[in-house]
Amino acid sequence: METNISSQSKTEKAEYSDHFLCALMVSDKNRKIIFTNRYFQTELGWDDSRLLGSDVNILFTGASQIFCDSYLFPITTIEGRCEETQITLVKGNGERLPAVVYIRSSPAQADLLYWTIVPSINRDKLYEELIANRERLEAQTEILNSLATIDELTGVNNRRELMRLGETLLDQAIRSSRDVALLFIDIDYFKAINDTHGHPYGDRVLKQLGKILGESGRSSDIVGRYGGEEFIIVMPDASRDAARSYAHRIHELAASINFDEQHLTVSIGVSQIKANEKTPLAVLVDRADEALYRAKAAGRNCTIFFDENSNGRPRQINHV
Amino acid sequence: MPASDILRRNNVQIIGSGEQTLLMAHGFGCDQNMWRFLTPSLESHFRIVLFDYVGSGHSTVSSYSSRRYSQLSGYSQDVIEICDALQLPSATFIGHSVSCMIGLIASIARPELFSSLTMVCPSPCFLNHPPDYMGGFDRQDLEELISLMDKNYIGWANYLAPLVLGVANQETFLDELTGSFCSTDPVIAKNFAKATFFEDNRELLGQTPLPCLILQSSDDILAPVRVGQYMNQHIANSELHIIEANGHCLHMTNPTDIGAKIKDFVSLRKETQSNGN
Repeated sequence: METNISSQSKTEKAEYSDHFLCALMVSDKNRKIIFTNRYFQTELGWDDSRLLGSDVNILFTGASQIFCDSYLFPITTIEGRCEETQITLVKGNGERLPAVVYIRSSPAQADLLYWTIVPSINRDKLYEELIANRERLEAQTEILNSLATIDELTGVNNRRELMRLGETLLDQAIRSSRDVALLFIDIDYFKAINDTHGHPYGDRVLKQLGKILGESGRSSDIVGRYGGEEFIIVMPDASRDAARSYAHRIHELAASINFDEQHLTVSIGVSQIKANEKTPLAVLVDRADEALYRAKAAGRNCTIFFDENSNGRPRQINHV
Repeated sequence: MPASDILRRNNVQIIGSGEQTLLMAHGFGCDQNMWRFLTPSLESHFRIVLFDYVGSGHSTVSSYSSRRYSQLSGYSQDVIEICDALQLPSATFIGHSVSCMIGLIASIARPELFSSLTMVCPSPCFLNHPPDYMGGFDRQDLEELISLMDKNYIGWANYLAPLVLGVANQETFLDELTGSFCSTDPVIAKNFAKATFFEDNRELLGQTPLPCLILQSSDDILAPVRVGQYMNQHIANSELHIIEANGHCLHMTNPTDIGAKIKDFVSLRKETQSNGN
């Protein structure tokens, strides 16, 4: 039998809305529900008697209400529509249901809002899986980053990361004319510790010293393991006195590591750049290494600055 | 970091003039722009420092660290660094929403930085901890809110309206809302949201040495009146004012009331200090 559309009454045409596989709703400017199609009753368990005249919030979870207030309604107010937004519906029996909402406003008709609400269980499941995968990937990336940049034994930066961070810090310092100090720290008689007590013991000493160095500095200092028993600390905005004072502290902290009724000692070489000096990091490291060598020669367990003699007096430096 | 870098990083702006300085800290979901309704009534009386947290507004996004900014203490550090960079002389801290706790944390770490705290729509904890404390939300609610942010980020990340203006205000603010939308990176916003919604800072309330002005909206789903009352009970030197209003953004919807309360509070503090000298 053909349907004669032109002869249908308004009521008959309005009933078309009851056959859609989605919830259709109209609310007024005070957010009161003034029309719902039968989907609410047949699929969502809501009676008209409970809905008509109620605030639209009756249909949403608390979180969704906040989301509506902070996003859906403002967008609809400004742009006249809000499309494809996921929220959580509350069914007539209190059960939660993920749904996608489209809203259209109609200023010409006393600011009515026209809602299309489509349950989206499968879409939501897919989203949950994607989000879980993304979080898994993020966690794995963090682990990989850590493995690539952290020295596994001591927990400080590995050599590659130390140099990378050091270069960046040095660039910034040179550009803004700030001082940088570099401390090159070497454990005294480390080979003897390994030979006497074995490598696992030596590893424990390294681990303890790494922990101390990592925790004792300022948050802006870069601490890294440069080699077997060598550590480097790059200190931005560090005056000579600050560097000397910190080196002194490192000697004290190292001494807190005991073995064979002895206290651990370290030798430290220090180099500095001054404001406006454009010294590459590698040169700074070499200078500190040279100062370290003189500290060893001077009897170990001391700190020597690159531009000082072992007696603390300034020394003549012939730059090549 | 040198002072000039910090001021650039946090897009620090200074307006107004006066003997005393107000430092205004925005809440989650927007930037310093949200203070624009309040500042006109205050800038002829006070020097006002405005800024954006790293990751918000026109701050330097490259300075963002997800580790630092996954906790409110990371945002407090922004506040402390700005104060140090400007060498602010005992400013009055004014925070909205989560910034109230951010300011509280900063005031405990560095009590000498501020002379007082003003809290607009604060909450020390959004979660319910029955029977003694009802922040307003269950964990499921807040996790769902974060999840909705995730699932809708393509839309809302570009249009996050100040959270939450309130039903009665939407029409009034039709034009203003256009300027109030804040574009933000969804990952950064989600990090801020998690720190905002899931931290419990109730224990810190008793630790601030500073006098506090608490301004609560009478109808605010995010920071209900009972939360303001809880804070008033637990912050020793505090006063609570409930403003008859709708929504969580009193400084946008009721700037006249808020401005007046701030002026009264700050001048009374100044008088008390002068009498004590």
